[in-house]
Amino acid sequence: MGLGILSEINSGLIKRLSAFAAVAIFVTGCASQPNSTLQDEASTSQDDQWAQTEGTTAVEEGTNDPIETVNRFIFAFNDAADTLIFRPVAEGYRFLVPAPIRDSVRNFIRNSYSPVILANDLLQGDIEKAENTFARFLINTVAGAGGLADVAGQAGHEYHSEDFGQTMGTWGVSEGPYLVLPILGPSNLRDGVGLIGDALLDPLTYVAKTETLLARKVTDGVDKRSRNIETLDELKQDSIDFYARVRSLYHQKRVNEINDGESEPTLAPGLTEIFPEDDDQVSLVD
Amino acid sequence: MKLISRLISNTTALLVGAALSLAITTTARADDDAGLFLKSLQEEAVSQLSDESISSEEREQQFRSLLTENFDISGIAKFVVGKYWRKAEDGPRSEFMTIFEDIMVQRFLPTFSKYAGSDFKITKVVKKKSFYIVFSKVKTEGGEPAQILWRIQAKENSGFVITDIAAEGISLRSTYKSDYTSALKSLGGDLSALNGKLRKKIKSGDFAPKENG
Repeated sequence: MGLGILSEINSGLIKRLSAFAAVAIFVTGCASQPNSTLQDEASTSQDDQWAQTEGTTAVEEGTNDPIETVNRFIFAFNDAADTLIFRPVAEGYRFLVPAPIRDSVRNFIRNSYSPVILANDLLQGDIEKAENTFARFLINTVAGAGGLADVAGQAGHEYHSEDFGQTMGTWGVSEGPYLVLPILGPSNLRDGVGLIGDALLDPLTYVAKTETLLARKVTDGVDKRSRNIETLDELKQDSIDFYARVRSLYHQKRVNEINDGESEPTLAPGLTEIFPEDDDQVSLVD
Repeated sequence: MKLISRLISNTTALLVGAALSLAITTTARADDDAGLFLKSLQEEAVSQLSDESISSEEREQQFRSLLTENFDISGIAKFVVGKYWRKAEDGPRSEFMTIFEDIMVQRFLPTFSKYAGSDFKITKVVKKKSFYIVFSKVKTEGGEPAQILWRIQAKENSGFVITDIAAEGISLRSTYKSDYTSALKSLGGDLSALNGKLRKKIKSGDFAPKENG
């Protein structure tokens, strides 16, 4: 678990999650123009975010969640499905399949998504990452037995994920209202649309059978869930309002991914700072 | 003549360079202090947490004082309650403070112990208007390196205090805040009701991280 903030901070976890992470997406969750996480360097008008939320009791700060009732319902459904199906399956998978094989499965799936990541790298104008993705794809496909071994990762070409939701984020598209998708879990309008974008960017969408694509997605979901069993248990135990916690984590995680972990955000609109300058006012209100 | 003018320009360049580098080092020094504070805190924590000779109660006590001395626990506690702080009475407020401190101890003692021996590096310090952001990288054995950000504020007289931590972009304060304000909203803003729930969770050890399988 992560040094700072316990489990939800598990760096590995956070990196592993991707928008398609069907089941694992329970981990994450939240879209909002958040309370404390909001200060856009480009538009300073948000400095008084706090003042605004303080004044209006109707608006709960930081929850960009107009259809909360519906979302909570789907969230509860997903949670039940997770308890009954996904978590047991993931646990069985982890118990039955040895770690090296599980890693190969993950490598293979990651490799098969390389074209999508490459396309998004390029759409974001990140040539360096595009080169990295391209090199990984070539090396792992050829030397890594079709992607089963992450040879490139060992050679210093580290894996990273990108998706079309992130790409739109870097273009300045704001996240829109928070959404909980059935089975797929936490999302928002932008990232939901991003899922469609990713499917369209994936060459396999056009050549592979539907069953194959579905099998890949399910396997991916089981793999991700199996890597987050304790983390999620903890998260659930630790929170008072699990739904709200997940919503916030999803939002923060996505902002961080869009910034690519840089905490000095670019000036693209919609990007936020992790520690806003003027978010202390509330703690001074006494 | 040429030689002299060249000498002069060289000297000037040198002086300007020296002045500049001096200016840079002096501004860097203020920022470094926040980094040094964190570095020494980390060293202190490591030596405390890796001390095998003390009992677990003693260790908890030590960790608690380390936490309360170096973290702005009360500030964070107020922050995570958000607007409901204002509406709460003094009794529930101070009760929440105590409870929140317990939560932090239960939550972070195992985590800090686990990370005590790992590679900890401060990568940069950024000065903001009223605080510093100290960037650090923590690498555990066999794990991927994680980026941890520390929001550090100068105390009024001297010294520093940590007001937030963010790992991989997830902020402690923001995360707890969304949870607790949302819970409070459904409890009709009743802080004592939240206190009751939290107390139960502390008792059953819900905040302690589990060992990863």
